[in-house]
Amino acid sequence: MITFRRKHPCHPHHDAAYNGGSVRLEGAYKEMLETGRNRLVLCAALFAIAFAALSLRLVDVTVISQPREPQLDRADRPVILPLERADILDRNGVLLATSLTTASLYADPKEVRDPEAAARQLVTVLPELKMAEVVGKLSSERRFVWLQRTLTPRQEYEVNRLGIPGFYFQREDRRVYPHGVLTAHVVGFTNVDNQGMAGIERHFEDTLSKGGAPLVLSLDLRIQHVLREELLDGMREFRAHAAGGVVLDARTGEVLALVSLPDFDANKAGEASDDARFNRVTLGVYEMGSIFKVFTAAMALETGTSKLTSSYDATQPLHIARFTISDYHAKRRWLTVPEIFMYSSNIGAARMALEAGGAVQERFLRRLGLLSPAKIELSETGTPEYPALWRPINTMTIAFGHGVSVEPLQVAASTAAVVDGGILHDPTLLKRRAGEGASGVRVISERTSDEMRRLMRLVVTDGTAKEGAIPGYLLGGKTGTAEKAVRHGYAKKELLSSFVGAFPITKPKYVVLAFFDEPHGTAKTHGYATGGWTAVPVVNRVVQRIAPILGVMPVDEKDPDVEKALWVQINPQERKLALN
Amino acid sequence: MMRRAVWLWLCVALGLGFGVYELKLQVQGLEQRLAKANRDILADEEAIHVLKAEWSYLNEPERIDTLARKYLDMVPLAGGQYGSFDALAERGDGADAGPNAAQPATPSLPVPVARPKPPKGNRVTLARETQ
Repeated sequence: MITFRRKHPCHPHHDAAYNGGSVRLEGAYKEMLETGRNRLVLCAALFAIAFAALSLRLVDVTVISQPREPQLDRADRPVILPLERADILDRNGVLLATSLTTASLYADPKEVRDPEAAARQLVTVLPELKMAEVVGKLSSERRFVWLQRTLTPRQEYEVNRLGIPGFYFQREDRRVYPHGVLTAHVVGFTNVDNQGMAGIERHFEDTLSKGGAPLVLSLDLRIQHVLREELLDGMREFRAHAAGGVVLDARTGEVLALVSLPDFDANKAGEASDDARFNRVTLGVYEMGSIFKVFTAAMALETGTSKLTSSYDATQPLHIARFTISDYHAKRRWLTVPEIFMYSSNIGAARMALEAGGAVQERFLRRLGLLSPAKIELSETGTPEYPALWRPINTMTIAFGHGVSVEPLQVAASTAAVVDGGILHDPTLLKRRAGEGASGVRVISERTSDEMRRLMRLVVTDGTAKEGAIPGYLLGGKTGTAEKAVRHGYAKKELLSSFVGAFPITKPKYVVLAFFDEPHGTAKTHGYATGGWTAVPVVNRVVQRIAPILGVMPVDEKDPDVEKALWVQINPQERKLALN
Repeated sequence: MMRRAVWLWLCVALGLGFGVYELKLQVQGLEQRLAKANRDILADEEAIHVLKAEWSYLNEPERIDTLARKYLDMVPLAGGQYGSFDALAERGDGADAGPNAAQPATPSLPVPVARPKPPKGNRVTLARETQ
C-alpha cells in the first residue's frame, strides 16, 4: 500500500513534495479521485477487519479452544453385529437358540411385465411354489406381494440369477433352534414376528428382545440327550402314552435336564399338536403315588411322631367310609417304618400320616412347596390340586400320593430338599454363576435328612427298586405307582409309574425323576407296569450314563464308611426273608 | 528483489497446497480402507454367527451318537472303568507295573485292559438299537 501511494503521481495531500508540484487537480477530476480513494479505503478497512477476524479465529481454534493435537475419533470404534434377539446357550455354551438373517422374496406386480413368464421361471428355482398361485399374485393390483419367506442363501442366489425385474428381497431375522426337538419344552419357540410364545423364549421375552449378551441356561445338553433317549426307549418298550423326566442339581436346584414326551421340533412349532406341546413336567399335575411316602416319612420323622424303630399294624386293609386302603406288596403283619418304606405299604403310610395329623401334613407339604406352582422360569406351570377340606381320609390317601396332584418338577425339587440336608432350593433353569451361593429354606433337619437317605437306599437294595442297583454308584430313591383317577374312583390298569432317585445317596449331588403315563408290562417285566419295573430301569441307565459326564466317582459299596452311613435297622428276621 | 520474493511465496503456497491435497487424498484412502475393514468385520461376524449355528447343529448329540456307533469301536464308560488318583496304589508298595496295579474302586468289575469289542447288535451295552 505504502509503495503504491509513493509512486502514485496524483496523490493529493499526504506528501508535501507533491504539493508544490506542477500538477494541480481541480474541480470534477479531483472529486472523482477523492471518491475513488474513499472507496479504496473502505474496501481496505473491510478486508482488514475480515483478516483480523480470521486471525483471531485461528488463534482461538488452534491455541485457546483445542490446545492439543486433534484426536482421531473413528479409527477404533468397535464393530459389533447387531442382534435383534439374544442367543440362548446351555451351561457349556452350546447354542440352543439364535437368530439368523434370511432373505424373504417379495414382488411389486406393477413392475413385473409378464407374470406368466416370471412365474414359470420362478417355480424352476422354488419348486414348492404353485405356478397358478404365483401368477395370481403377480397379476394382482397391489404394489407388494410376498412370494416366499426365509429363503436359503442358495435359493436367494438362484432367484437373483433369474434377474426378473420387480422381484426384491427383504432381510428378516429368523429364530433358529439347532437342537429343535431336544430342548423344545424348555427353550420354547417364537412366532413369525420373533415374539416368544412358549418356554424360556416367552418368560424372558423382555430381556431377549433387547439383544445383547446371550442367556445361559442351567441345562446340560448331553444329559438332556441321555434322559430323552432313555425315556423314549422306555416309552416305546412299555407302550406308554407319555413320559417325562428331570435331572436336578440337589445342591443348587439347577435343572440339568428336563424332558417331556411326546415332544416336537421347535423350528416347526406351528405344526405340533397340543399334546406334544404340553410340558408334562411343569404344566402337568399328577397324583404321584407312593413317591409321596418320601414326604410322609420325612414328616413323621421330623415331627417325631414316628421313629425308625416304630412299627404299624398292616395286617388288615384299612376301611374308611366307602374306601379300602390295601397294600400292593401285602405282608399282613406289623411293619416297622423302614419296612413300610421299602415295601411301599399304603396301610403303614396312612397310619403314619394319621398319627402326625392332617394339619401337620398340610403344613409340611406346603412348606415343601408341593401345594403351590413351581417357581421356575417358565410360563407353563400347573397349579397343584388338593382337597379344600383336609379330612382324615384325605390325610390317609395323600400319605401315599393319592388325592393330591402336583407337578413332577416340584416332586423332584422337594425330594432334593429331603435328601440334601433338608434345604429346599427353588428349581431354576438359569445357570448359577460360580461362587454364587444358592439360598434355600430349611424344611427338615439334618438328622431327618440322614434317616431319609438310609431309607431311600434301602428301597434300592432290598425294596421295590432293586432294578436300580448300579455297581459303583449308590442310587437311592422311591418308586411310585399311581392308579389314574377316572370318573368314579381309580382305574386299576391305567397307571402313572414313576421313580425318583438321588445319587450318590451318601452325599446326594443329583436327583433324577422319571415317570411314564399308562405304561404296559412286557414279558421282561413279567407283565408288571409298576414304577419298580418301568421307571427304575430307565433311571438306572440314565445314572449310569450321566455319572461319568458329571464326574461322579464310583465308590465301593462294601466300604465300611459307606455301609455305616447307610446302615438301617429293619427287622433282623425280615431282612433274611427279603434277601431270599 | 520483489519478484524473487513473490516467486518464493508462490512456490511455498503451491507446495503447501499440493501437500495438503496429497494428505487429504491419503486420509480419504485410509478412511475407505477403514470402512471396508469394518464392513468385512461385520460380514465375517455374520458368517461366524451362521457357522456357530451350524456347528451347534452338527453337534447334535443324537447325530454324534449315531456316528460314534457307526465309526467308533467303543462302548459307553461304565462305573468300574475309572477312578481317582487316590484309589491308585502307591508306587513301590509292591504293586506290579502291569495294568492290574490300578485297582478300580469297584473290584467286582474287570479292569479294562483292552478295548472291549461288543458283538453286533448288543443291546445290553448300548441300550439302544441303531436306526
